[in-house]
Amino acid sequence: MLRKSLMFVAILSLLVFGAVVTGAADQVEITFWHAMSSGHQPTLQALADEFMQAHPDIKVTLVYQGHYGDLSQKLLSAVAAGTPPVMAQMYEDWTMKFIEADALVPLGPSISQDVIDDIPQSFIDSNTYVVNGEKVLMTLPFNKSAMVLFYNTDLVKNPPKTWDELLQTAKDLTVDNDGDGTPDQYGFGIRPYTEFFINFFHQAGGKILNDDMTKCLINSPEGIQAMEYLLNLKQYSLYQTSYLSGPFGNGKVAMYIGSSAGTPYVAKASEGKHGWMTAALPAGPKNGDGIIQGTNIGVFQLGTTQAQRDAAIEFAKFLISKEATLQWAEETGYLPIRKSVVASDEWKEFITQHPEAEASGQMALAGFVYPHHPNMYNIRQSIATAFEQVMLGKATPKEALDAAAQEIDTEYLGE
Amino acid sequence: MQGYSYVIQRRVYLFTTYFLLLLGATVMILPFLWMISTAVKPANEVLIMPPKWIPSHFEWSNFVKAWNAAPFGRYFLNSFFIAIATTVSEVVTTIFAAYAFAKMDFFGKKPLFLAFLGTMMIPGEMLLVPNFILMTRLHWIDTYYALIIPWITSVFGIFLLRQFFMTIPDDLWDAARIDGCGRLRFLWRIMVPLSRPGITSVALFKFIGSWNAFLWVLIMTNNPNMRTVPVGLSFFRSDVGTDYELLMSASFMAMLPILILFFVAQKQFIQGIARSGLK
Repeated sequence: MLRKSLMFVAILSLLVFGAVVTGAADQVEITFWHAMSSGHQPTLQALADEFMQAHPDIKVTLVYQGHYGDLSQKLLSAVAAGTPPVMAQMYEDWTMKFIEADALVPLGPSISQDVIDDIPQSFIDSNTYVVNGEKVLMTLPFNKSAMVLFYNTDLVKNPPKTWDELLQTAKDLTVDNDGDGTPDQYGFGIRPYTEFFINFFHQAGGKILNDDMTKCLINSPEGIQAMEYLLNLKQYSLYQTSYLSGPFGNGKVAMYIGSSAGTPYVAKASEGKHGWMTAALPAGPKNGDGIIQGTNIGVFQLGTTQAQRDAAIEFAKFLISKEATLQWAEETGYLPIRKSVVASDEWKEFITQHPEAEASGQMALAGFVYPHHPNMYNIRQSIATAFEQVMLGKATPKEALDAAAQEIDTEYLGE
Repeated sequence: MQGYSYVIQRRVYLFTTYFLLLLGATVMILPFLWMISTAVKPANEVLIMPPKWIPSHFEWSNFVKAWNAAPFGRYFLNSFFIAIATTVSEVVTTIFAAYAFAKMDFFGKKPLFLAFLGTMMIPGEMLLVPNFILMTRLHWIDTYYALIIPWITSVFGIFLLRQFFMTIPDDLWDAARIDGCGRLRFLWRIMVPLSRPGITSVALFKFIGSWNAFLWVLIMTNNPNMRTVPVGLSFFRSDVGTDYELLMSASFMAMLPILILFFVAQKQFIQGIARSGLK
């Protein structure tokens, strides 16, 4: 019995230790870590395949690394260990950490000025970092999404164009059929996340931080104005922390503001139930801009060879080419990141067949982005907390925003 | 007359008991039923409120779509291999360690055991980066080593089994010794058979834990051929929404092996928890 067991253990350990993974290639191989799950990965793979056909000496290996949270954790660990991939999708606050570790190759010098001029300014801004006192285009925009207004076309004929119209339409469409005090249909839907509030804040003319990033301005009059407006709008809104595409599809919510990347989920949830469409955001007192979200592409110099870096820059340039960005935007719902693509006949042809994509194209040109600060993640959390407290009636707009501003000033903006 | 009222009392008691149990069972099984029902629903019926339990038509193609969304064949193979390898290794290592802690006297036994338990207090997430660096230095990234070796023992398993071993009287060891039995033989011939429920619990906890492991596998591998089922499942969620129908059909497939295992080992599993006084 004992001998048999020992044999078993021995065989097992042989099995375990014997397993070796091999892999070798003659071409330059570049790995690209991304977070594009089942819906968008096929398009990314198709683009990589097209690129490899044109460049037989380069092999692009796409590696799915989970969601953004997982990807960031993985990239941070890999940079700490000195083994990052050749290129990866990255958000601005992670990028700042990689720049601090001197891990990235600046991509700006490899991109011609006419290409840079063809990219909307907000995208350029979000990819430009101050390195050693100079502004450098470090990364390139990739899967960008804008905020749009989703509306049920069976209920809304003319989508609201201003805050006042939005409030009025939401009020008109909030219906309590059985008179139990709880509406059976809501005019609007609110999910409490930072970007949603920041959009209204920006449209009121607010700025999150002062120019030298030493003080938080979220408790400015614009902040209070945005918060009070949303508190008013909340009376006619379904308020929930989960995605609104579900209740929107079921006809419980007539309109909501969400990321254009969520379009496929809205389409699925609404299918066979009611018509729907997207519109540019209703404009606030100062502007009608929308926040741009989504990641950029960065190329690592840490632990990579010159040949790999050159190949990766080539691939990054391909991904922001007109052809690739058109295909990417058409198939995934992310924004076209070239102005000439938005103006092109192909795009116009595409939006006659997919009118829901028009609004995101418009919003791509009217975008704004978060300021670059290494603690942006925590700053966003503080703002989200303030927003939630006001929505749940636990604090007045002034109380909540003052508290958030103070927390941000002392905890996240100090030296 | 007395007997009659006893019968009624007994019936009321039984009725209440079964009613409460049934209620509990229903609450527990609802998410499971929702998973099965969603797995075969068309996409636009997934989020209807109130939930539609029987879909308007059965969308069997969800299973095909889910299966093809990622290399699930390979993922299952890896999950099985890793789960079996870690489970068998852990059972072997914990039996030895638990026996030493429960039945042998040696210098520093108590502080050592406390130190072992102390490691359970450190959250795994905190160790992720140091562990990743360690695995990188060992060149174990993208190999089964990284997925198996760090998991071939567990303090929880040692603790659970130690409690089990401690309930077995020392007289058995004295008797065995008189008959000329050595430590190893005593362990395998007497302790192990007597502790079968405990060992089964350790094995099951490990198997389930390994089957569900996500972050470790994701961090320690880049090659899709080295990944496991939970990594495949994450494929159906994104930052803007979830493909519930595909996620549920994939989850159903992923859960089947565990379910079968539980049915087979149910008796041992429940005994194991009841005997060691642990949940």
